[in-house]
Amino acid sequence: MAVKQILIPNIGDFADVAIVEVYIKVGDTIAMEDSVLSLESEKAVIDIPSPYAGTVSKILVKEGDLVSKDTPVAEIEVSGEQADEGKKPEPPKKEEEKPLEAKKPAETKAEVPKAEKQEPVKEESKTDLVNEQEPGALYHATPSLRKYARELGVELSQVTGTGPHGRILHEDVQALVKKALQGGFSKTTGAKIELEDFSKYGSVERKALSRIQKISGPHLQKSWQIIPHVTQYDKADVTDLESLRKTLKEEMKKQKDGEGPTISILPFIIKAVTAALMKFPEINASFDEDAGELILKHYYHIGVAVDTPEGLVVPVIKDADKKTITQLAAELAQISQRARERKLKGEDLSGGSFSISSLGGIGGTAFSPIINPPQVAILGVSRLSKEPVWNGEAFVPRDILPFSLAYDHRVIDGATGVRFTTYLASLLGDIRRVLL
Amino acid sequence: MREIQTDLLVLGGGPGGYSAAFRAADLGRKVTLIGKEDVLGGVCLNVGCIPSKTLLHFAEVIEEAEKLAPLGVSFGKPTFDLAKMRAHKDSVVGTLTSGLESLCKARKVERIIGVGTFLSDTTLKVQTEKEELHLTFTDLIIAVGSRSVQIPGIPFEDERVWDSTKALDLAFIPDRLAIIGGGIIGLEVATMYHALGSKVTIIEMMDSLIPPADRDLKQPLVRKLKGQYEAIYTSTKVEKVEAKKESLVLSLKGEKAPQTIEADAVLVAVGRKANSDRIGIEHTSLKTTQRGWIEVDKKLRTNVAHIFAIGDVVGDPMLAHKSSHQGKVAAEVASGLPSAFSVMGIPSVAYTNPEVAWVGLTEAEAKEKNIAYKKGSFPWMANGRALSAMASEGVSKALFDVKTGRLLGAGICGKNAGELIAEATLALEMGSVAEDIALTIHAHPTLSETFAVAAELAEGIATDTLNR
Repeated sequence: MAVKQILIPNIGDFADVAIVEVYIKVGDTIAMEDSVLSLESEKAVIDIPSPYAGTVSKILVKEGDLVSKDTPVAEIEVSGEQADEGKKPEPPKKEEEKPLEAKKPAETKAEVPKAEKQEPVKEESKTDLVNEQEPGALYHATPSLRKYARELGVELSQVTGTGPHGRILHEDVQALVKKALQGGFSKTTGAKIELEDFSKYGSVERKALSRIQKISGPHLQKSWQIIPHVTQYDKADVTDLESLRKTLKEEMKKQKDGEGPTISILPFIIKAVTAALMKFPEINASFDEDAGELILKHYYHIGVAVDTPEGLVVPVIKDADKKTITQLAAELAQISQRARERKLKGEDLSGGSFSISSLGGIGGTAFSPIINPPQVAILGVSRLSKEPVWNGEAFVPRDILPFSLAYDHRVIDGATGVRFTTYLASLLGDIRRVLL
Repeated sequence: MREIQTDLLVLGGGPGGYSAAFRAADLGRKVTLIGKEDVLGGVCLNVGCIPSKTLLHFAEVIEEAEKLAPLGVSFGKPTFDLAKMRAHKDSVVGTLTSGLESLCKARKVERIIGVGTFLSDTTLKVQTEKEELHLTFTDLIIAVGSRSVQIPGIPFEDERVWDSTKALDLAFIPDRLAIIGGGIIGLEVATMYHALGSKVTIIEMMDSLIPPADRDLKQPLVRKLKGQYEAIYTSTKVEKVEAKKESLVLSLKGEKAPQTIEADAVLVAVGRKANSDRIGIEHTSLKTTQRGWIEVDKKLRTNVAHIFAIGDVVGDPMLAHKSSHQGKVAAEVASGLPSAFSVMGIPSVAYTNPEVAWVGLTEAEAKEKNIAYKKGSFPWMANGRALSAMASEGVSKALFDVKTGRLLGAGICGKNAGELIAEATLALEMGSVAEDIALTIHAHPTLSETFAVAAELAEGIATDTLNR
């Protein structure tokens, strides 16, 4: 038996994300790829799989801890042959990069017997922080404060000393940490709704929020509180699109003896939305409040809300403008499947420039979606239905798709909003226009 | 050959090594301590700081007694029983080393007596009296210290040619003692043998004694030594030493120095060299500087995973109190604690008579770094306690940052300066401004008042002297 550490793999460009839940406990026997814990990414929960099979011998983290790539999270006893086969989170970095940084020894450490009363747990020092106090620096921290700040991972140069002569007090370090915590998505800010004793009205029960709800809640609240939302409603006549889709669907079915892929209206909507975003670049953007500038994106990464048993997640289809309808359909099917199996990675969820929330499969005639910041708009799609439409001579049945655009009114005015929806409706009415 | 797997291995039993071992043991690590000597304490305890301070105490009492003769208190000419003096020195050392031994046992630190050399980054060979051991480890802390530098052209095989260790053997009292190197070690040995009756000559390559200390700080000492010693030749090199039957002949090269001088013993104290070349470092990928100092970061980590290095072997200043502090930091970092070597100053003390001590930035360094400072400097002539103790040769000075007001560094020359510098060191680490020191009540009459007055002078609020 050898002891291996499970490290946080590279799951996208982030550091210091919170652990939502630890699934394993000491003594658990787990298989390779079993989920070890889940992390809070920008808007979704990512499960971290185990690179090894074996018995959990030590847990090095707890819920709420902040972790980054290569943070050790657990130790696992694996059988000898497996020891070196475990998947590496990523190829090792070049030696020269940080010559004086301690690197984990691959082999020696594994077999070493652990001391009996080991306290504290032997692990890599979490931080390289030194907190040197240079003579003549603008701030001053006493030796015990240098140590305190190291323990909390606070860089002293970041702290505003409120003591006399620029001295940093314990309270100053604490204040910085508090501020940092409140700035994150993990805490709800603002007033709380007062509860009362409902049991006096009738029987009640309590149900914990799902992990996704716990994370998305504060994110949505922040969006709702900060962004002045306006929702523009419209309808598109998709009769021609629907007949094209049905034709395509039949053709695809035939390809593999009736087992071929199916195609929904969503890939067409993604394609049309991408074309509309190209015409209205300020909707494919983010708002830099400090600079008073819009950041226009020259890429079209479309987030698509996917319903999973845990709740809604928003995987991102990258470069939708460069993909065909059938490619989009295939990618949607695959990414939705992965979402339901909780196998999405950080990179699957990051980088979206615009989002679509399609509830039409379930029902509804119209709704106001909440913007997914730092994006500035979101499209809501409701249920397609046959409606009588006056064609000048008679009412004819047409396929009508209701949709809505919620946008950030600080940066998009009403005229632009309605121009966008009108243009989108025209694209969906005649999908050939996407080619123009 | 026997193979042993260990948890935390400490190579070297000096102040750095045993501090690292004890701290790691207290943190729950299973510690193995390897030392080449059968006693702990290293150079400092066995052949350095402690024996020299024992002998310097003799010197101090002898000199104090002499000072009383013209004042009406006379003890007569002192006589020396070198064997008894040596025995006392050895008993002081013995008390301390046996104390360490019991601390080691109480902490269940395993001792291996033998010479440790690396076979690779992961294996250390230890040659004990009985057998050869091959040790692997989870973490290893190198604390192998330093040794006196030997210079060419000097017959070290002659028993009249000493390094600091031999000087402390107290084998005989030479009539004429020539000391090559006017640093702290050289001057302490000079102080010792001068009190025992030797005529001392000091030869220093640099242009002043104790080169790193500020001139105004060491001036009371230098002035006194110039009166006491045969000669002090600065900016002078020793080209060679010839061992003749009657005496040792030193060939000098310096503007104000004669071509040759004769001596009955020569001490060579020109610096110390890291022992990194004696641990099979060539079999590892450890990086060293040109001077053979093992490269470490502020967490005392080397470039090799889970190998740490501390103390003299990582470079200047080669001081026991730096080593022991670093030893604790390394033990903590190795055990997963977020520690670091983040001190603002490491005090230096010359146990001369008067003593010279300083911490933090010297005035020369502040100038070099272009840091604007205000200075308070108080000569001990005006301190009651100093005068009563016949210790008026002295000065206390303190430098404060003009921008922030905080203490940048301090220096004290005078009786017990080595003890007095502790207050300045604490003030430095605590970020004290001049007022903090001035508004702290210092007992009267004490020598410690001199540091407070220096702070008052910097602040312009002194009453014991005139503010300039």
